[in-house]
Amino acid sequence: MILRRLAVEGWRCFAGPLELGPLDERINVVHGPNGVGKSTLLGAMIRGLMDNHAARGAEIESLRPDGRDLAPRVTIELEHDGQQLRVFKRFLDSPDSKTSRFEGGRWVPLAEGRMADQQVRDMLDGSIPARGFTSAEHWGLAQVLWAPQGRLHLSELGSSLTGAIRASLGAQMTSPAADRVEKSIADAYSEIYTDTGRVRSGKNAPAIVGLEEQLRKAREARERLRQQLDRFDELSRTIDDLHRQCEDLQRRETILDKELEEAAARAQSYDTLKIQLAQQKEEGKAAEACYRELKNRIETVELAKQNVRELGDQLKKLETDLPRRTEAVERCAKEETEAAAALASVETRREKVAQASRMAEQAAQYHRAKETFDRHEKRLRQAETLQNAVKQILQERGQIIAPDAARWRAIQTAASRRERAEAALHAAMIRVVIEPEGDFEVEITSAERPDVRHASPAEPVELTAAGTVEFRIPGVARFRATGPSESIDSLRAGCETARAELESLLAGFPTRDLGELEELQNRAVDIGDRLIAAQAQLDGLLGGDTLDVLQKQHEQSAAAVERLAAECPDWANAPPDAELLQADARQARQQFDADLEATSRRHRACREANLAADATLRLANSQLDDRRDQLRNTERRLGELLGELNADERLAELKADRDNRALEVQAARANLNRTESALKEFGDDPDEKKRQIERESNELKAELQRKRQQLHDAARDLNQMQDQSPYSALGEVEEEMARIEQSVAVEQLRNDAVRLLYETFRQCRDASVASVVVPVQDRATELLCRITGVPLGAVRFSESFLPEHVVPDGLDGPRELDRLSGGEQEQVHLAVRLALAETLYADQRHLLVLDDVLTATDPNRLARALDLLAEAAERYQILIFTCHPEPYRHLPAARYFDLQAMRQM
Amino acid sequence: MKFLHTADWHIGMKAAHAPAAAQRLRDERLAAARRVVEVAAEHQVDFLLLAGDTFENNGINRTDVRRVALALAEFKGPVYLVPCNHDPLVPGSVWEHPCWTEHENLHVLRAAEPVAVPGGRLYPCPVFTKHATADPTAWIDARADAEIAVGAAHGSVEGVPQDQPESPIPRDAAARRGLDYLALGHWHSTVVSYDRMAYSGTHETTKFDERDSGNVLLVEIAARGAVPRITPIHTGGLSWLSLDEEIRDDGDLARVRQRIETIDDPSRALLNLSLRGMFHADQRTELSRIEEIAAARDFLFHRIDSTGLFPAPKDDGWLADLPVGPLRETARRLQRWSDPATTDQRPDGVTPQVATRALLDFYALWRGGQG
Repeated sequence: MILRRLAVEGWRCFAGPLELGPLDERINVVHGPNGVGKSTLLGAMIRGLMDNHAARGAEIESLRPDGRDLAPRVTIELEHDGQQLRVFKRFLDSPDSKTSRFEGGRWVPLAEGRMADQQVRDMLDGSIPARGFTSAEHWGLAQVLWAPQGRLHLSELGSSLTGAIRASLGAQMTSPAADRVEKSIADAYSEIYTDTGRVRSGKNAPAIVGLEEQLRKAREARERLRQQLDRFDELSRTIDDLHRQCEDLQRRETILDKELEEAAARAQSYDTLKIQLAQQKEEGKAAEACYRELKNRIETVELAKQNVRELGDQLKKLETDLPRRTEAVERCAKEETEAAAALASVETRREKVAQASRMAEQAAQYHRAKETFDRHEKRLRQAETLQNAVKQILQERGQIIAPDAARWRAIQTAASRRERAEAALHAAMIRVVIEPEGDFEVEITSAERPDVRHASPAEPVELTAAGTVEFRIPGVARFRATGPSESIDSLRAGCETARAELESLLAGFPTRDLGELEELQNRAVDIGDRLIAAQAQLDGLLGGDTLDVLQKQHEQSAAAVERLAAECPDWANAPPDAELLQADARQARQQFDADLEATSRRHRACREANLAADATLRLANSQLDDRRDQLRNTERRLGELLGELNADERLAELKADRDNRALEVQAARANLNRTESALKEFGDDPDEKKRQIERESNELKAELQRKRQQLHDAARDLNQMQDQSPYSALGEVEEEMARIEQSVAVEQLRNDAVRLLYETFRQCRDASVASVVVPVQDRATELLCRITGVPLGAVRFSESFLPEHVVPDGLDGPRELDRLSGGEQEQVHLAVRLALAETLYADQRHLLVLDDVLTATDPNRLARALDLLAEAAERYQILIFTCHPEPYRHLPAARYFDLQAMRQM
Repeated sequence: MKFLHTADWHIGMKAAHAPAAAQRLRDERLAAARRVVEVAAEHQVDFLLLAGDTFENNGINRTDVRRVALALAEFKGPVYLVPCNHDPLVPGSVWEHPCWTEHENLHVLRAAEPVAVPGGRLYPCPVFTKHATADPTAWIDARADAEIAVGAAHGSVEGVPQDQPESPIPRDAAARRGLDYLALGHWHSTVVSYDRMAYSGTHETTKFDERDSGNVLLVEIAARGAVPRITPIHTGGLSWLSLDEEIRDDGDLARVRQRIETIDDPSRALLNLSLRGMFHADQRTELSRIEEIAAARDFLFHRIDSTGLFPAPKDDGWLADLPVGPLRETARRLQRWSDPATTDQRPDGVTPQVATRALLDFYALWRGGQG
């Protein structure tokens, strides 16, 4: 199809009519600035050729010019299969569609309405969406040839176009026989497998799914039945084992019963012996007790007889010793009385000794008090003397009025300042001294005291003034002395200030003479030093006390002396010799202590001897009484033991009886030993052994009972399992499994064969298509290389014929398109479009539309691309929309349409 | 002494190798048992001796136990049964069934001790476990016997190669134990070539390729020390046909078909047909016909294994009819992969059998469309 003319009216920016054409058969360049309507024109052509005139919706509504209630209209004249055709479409208001053919010099209608729409679409193998405008995938063959603005990239190809490409590439794929076989293979495959290659499930699942489910269940049943059969065998073994165990237990039970019988007999014998032993022990004990009683009785009698003898002897001896002990007591009492008298005699000296000690002590106290008094007296007198000296010095100091040290330093400073001020004043004054040789008058005209003064050799005149001194000596001359003319007022004021300060400091002092004042000050200082020394001496004597304290101490010590002296008035005249008194008192005390110690010791000894003799006497009397009592008691006891028989006869009887009892005891012990030996021969306690065997027997019987119960249970279970015929059931299930497995194998072989056939066929078909697509890829690569000037790489397509990547020379892997630059990408897509177009349309001319493409391509490559387009113009009518017409100017024999100029017309 | 020696009845045996006919096979084994009794009666033997494995397992259906007992009770003379490794004398065994005490002529030999039988003494070797490795006849010493001494044991005669010898029996067991005859069980084939001892084999063939089975032995011993006269008598009622056919020529399949068509009494025949070799695609029809006939003749059981049959590599006549392109390439690839000797790399999981089946399916699709 090639385009001859395109006319629009009421179409977006074209409210009025605009006609593009007649178009050149080769190259047409429609140019104009942005917004002039280039893409609108292309859109009108596409809507006119592809879309239903009755389409509705917002997209269609947007075709109306802004603010105008116009129905969009487009008229397209084209040439297809050697026929001149016209297509007219009106949208929105009274929508309409008509096709007509130029025949015999006029346009003859071909179709109207939907038929007309479809007729045009069929020419381009187009299709329509369910609603809205068509998009590129509906444009059929034009999808490759038409590149609207910004959509040079091929991102998706419609199924009809893909089929057309395949059809062009592989002629055999379109044969009816191949289609039928392919369909049959696909149908067989889809009966078993899903599109993703998984075995179908649900109601459409192939037979193998059901078989495998049956097999799974059969396997579960087989496992269950195997376990049942194993359990059957295990029960059989268990019963066998239990039988053996029961038999073993029964054998052991018999043995134990016999052992128990024997043990019981032994235990009975043992018990009899034990009873016998107990009896023998009791008999032995009784005989021994009887023997011991007799033996004790005899020993008691013999002991009593001996006691009677000994007590008699002791009584006799005590009675003999008693007078001697009485005499000793009396002697000791007398000696104690004498010792007590001697002690009392010594005691009478005690007060005298104490008196001497007190006197000696008092004398010593007197001496100490006297010494204290003397010391206080002396100190008090010294203090009074020093205090008087201080008072005298203070009196002397009070008579001298002199500045203190600070005042004196201030006075000295003020005097110095005054001298410096007076010196400065004096230096500033002019002084003239007139020492006359005779008398004369001096008229002072300018000086401090203008006057007329008399001058004589004895009375010189001194004139002073500040600045000028002028005087005249009549008859002699007028004299004028001048000096510096500075003011002396300030100096004078300073001088006066210094003098006033000095005066104020000297006020109150008896003299203004600084020398005298200094002398006074020195004297005051000297007196002060002496005062300090006297005061320090006084303070040292007082030691922190006051004179009153000293006075009080003095009075106290005097009182103490007087008090002691009052007790011994003689001491006032002749002070005692304390040391002598103390020595005498000490000697008297020592003598007294020694005498007292000796007499006391003797007195204690006598008293103790007296007490001991008395105690001995009392003891002897007590013993005497005691022995008499004992003798009486023993004789009474002996009478009780022997009765009224002759004691010796009775004792002989007792001894004979005792000897008989001794023989009985021996016999009993012998019997006991025999019985114990018999018992020892039994070893361990037969009763315990019997009980142990009984326990074992009971345990064994219980175990046997348990085993029998287990045997019973196992036999019951086995019987139940026999009824279930576990082997037969298992066999049937395994037979069923074998049957299913055979069916599964058959089905699996069938399914595998279908899959293999399907996949093999697909691989072969894809390989076939791939083999024929290679030339197209090569052609795209060649075209791309011509545009870029240098090899960019081999273009590779996907299964759906879309450019997927380029494979640059020398690189290991392919480069995805989105990794190329924007210019390179549009160059690849242009090359691919041209290559696909050559595949699809090798036999007739078609319209190739490029709306503002190659905008990112550099000038050199653009020039090479245009060369390609110029060559392509041999096969295609090329329609270029651009806002930059300059690069296209050198396209040979191109027809240019200035859209802006056309609109202005 | 005249008795019938039989063994290895394996009543209740499962038949997973012929699952479609399993119950029928079990029924046939019982029917054969009844025939054994008939043979015994027919030959008027003194007694009937079952030398082990009467039953397949102790866990079989008790009804079958009773059926066997009833069948044996039909015999007028004594029947001696020896429990062996398949039905050992253990708790829960088939021998505990009351049917064995309900018939006076039935004697389950439960101990290894001699038993008086008509005309002599019988030395049975009952088995008490499923697996035994000792000579079961070791206990027998009949050398001093004056009467005819017959033994009954179950095991493998030494010298027969086997992985794990079970109950090994010396080749001279009969002579060594002083027996006039030792009735053996365990092997399913009939073997009478030993000295004074023989395997009767199973009374009904149990599986395909089981050689010389389906017999019982009629044993006649004239006197103590006399050589026994052993006569095999066929009691089996089934034909187990195992055909392994190699297909080379065009007519081979037709020949196989004709053979199947001429098999007698297919209702008692079990057919296992294995086809090997090369065939041409157009022979697929003949193959289908064989399958159809086997099914139509109602064999007791039939199995046709054609997985050993592969397309002839040079069979490319029909390939020339295919259009050049994917169709023809598909056929060529499948043909190469179906050749077991091909050097082509097959896709994962694809066997020559799968490729053959795919090729045959493809052929059918193509030809179906042509028609």
